[in-house]
Amino acid sequence: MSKDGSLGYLTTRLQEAINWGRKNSLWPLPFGTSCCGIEMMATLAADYDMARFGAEAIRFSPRQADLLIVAGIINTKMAPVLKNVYDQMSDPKFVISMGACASSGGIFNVYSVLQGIDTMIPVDVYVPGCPPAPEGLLNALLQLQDKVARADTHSQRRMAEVAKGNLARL
Amino acid sequence: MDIRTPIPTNGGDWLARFGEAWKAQTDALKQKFGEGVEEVRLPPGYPTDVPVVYVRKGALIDVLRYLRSEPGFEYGFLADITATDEMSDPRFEVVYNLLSHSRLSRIRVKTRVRDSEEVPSATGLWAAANWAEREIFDMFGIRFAGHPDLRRILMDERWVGHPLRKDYPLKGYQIFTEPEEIKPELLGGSRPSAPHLELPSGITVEHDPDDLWSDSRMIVNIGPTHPAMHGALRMAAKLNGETIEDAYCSFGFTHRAKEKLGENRTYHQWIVYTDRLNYCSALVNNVTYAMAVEKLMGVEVPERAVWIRMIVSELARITDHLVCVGINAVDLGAFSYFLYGFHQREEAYTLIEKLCGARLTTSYTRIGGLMQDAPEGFEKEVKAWVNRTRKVVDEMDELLTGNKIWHQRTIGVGIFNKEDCLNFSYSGPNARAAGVDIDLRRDQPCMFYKNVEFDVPIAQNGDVFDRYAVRLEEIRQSLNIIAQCADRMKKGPIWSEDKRVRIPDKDVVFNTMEGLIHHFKFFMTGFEVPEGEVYSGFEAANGELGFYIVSKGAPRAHRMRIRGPSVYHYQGLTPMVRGEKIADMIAALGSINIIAGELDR
Repeated sequence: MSKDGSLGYLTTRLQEAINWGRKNSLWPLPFGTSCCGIEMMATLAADYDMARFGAEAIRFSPRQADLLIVAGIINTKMAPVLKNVYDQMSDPKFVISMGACASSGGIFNVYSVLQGIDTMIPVDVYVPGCPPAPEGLLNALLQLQDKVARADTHSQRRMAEVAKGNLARL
Repeated sequence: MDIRTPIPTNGGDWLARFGEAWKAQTDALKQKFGEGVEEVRLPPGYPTDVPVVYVRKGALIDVLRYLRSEPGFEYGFLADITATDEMSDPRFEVVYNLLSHSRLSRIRVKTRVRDSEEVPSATGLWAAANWAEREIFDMFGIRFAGHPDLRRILMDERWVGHPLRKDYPLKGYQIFTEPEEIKPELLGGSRPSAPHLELPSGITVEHDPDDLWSDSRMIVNIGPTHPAMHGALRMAAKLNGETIEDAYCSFGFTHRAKEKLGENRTYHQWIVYTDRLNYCSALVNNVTYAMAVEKLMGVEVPERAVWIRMIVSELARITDHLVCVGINAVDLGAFSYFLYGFHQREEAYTLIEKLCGARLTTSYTRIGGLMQDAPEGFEKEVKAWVNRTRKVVDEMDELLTGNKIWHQRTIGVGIFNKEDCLNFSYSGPNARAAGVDIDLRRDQPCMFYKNVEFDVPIAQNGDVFDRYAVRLEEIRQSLNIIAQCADRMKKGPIWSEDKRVRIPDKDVVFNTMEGLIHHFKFFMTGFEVPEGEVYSGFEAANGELGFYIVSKGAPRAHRMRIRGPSVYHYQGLTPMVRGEKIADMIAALGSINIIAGELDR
């Protein structure tokens, strides 16, 4: 589009156009369980405002979301629930593991805590911190946007393999 | 100073105030129950903060009933039930911490129990005992005779073993692939009282195999990932139309074994775990925990540290209340209200960051002092924040308190009256909203709460609106306290002079051998805490937060029990919402401010 508003031409590959759209309209499902959930709320509130990056449409239904933000501890009682939620999301789906508990168990190396959600579901971006500051989550979102634009997330790579016929459809 | 005897610090003329009365009370108990009372341990002879009465199992319920209602005792408030694993014969001790609201003193009742024996249940005396006893069964495997519903509570129902037993390994993971199923049998017990949903004439409905009671009542599962369930809570409700006829709650979805960690980390290391209890007000947890250990060791904290501790406690209370009322309003559709509160909270976090470098998980206190002094000009900044927040709170007040929709959604909803509150061990703003006039800051003053002026807001109806109003007023009172503290804070040391707990200064560590060794020993093995036990309760944002610590003289606690107010509040949710509409359950849940970290521990 030219500056005067008249239409010009923009050539791109269809897949890139789709990914551009995807990365700028991530719909998060906030799986906030503990302290990180509070910082995630702060990120969504006015001061940090995740809406600036096109990710303000919070959906608690896995059917309507494509970004799972796991914010907080997942223990052995919650792990099957998380797996269910992840399985119910439709492709392409992305996962941010926010905070030390979700990423590795953090300071809680104990009987009840899952030592990292990546033992259960694939994770695209990890956010360090206990809890991470809102800036950390925003940075993770930007990183994820880059990955989505490059079609480099777990879900997109699998979809590409399925399209090539190398992998069976789930 | 005899370091083996704990000195009641933090507001401390306890021994002088209660010593005689405790002696008289325990003598009266011995006389009344004779053989039933095995042993009485009194401070200062035995290192404990309140009298400990060992009771035989057979007499336990009688003693508790007597303590609860007998004039002169009136220990009507069940602060906590817990247990300890002694690894000897008899193996367990079940511990009842009682508080008297009228006399403002505490007592501890214990009973010894062997591995396979049952303890009589106290659910007939206090409804609050229900979940506490379930937790003991879950964590220690102690069975309670006469308990209505003795199931696991924190751990998954398929869990094998009892995690808080000393012989259960800290890293004994157990993984499950399927979530817990809903249990309709827990909801089918009593026949519904509300009128049956009438269908218009002429319409017939075929019998649905999922219709468990064949009367169109249905079970709805809410949570653990529902947006209104505040983190990770789950409720299964039996509905007649929109009315909740019965419900049961489950939790434990964020259980992080903090109590077990308390037995496996040194007292200093465990400070970080207190942050993650009620993470909306981590600073209060830090302060309460530090006070508990200091009380156990008899460590006095210098004046400046106490003033700073008071400021941060109130700061945490305000942020907690702002989150609570904000989220409660969001749940009921008032989104912008939440943004007002959250902005002010962000500013408070900036202040907290200046103190300790972290926003949420602060770890600011140390045993016997603080992590670091408040920065230059902190008082001024705090006071400026107080003035700004006063205006914002007034604005929030105008925005919502008179709103007609808000009134309709909150007034008369989720009523929990005074008797219910005492029966279910409600404390803090939730109890004060129902007219229970107790605030541990005023009634069991610790730190310098005696020296500052503040009011304790009380409401009468105990509905959602009252809980909201009490919280809003408490924010104002806390702002007043902060302003007074900031005025009266003087320069001075922030560390106790006690060598046992004080972390050596860096120049001493780097320049002297003794300092280096001291530093190494402090962080590698930790300091030893003299044998004894203490229950230290403080008015946290949500209610009475208590740490019951049993020390056997080691650098790690023998038992680290956390009394989280949320556990008792959440237990009251089912009776609170029975008969209400399902949308009102959301309002009620938001108003009692359950924080999962404190609930599941």
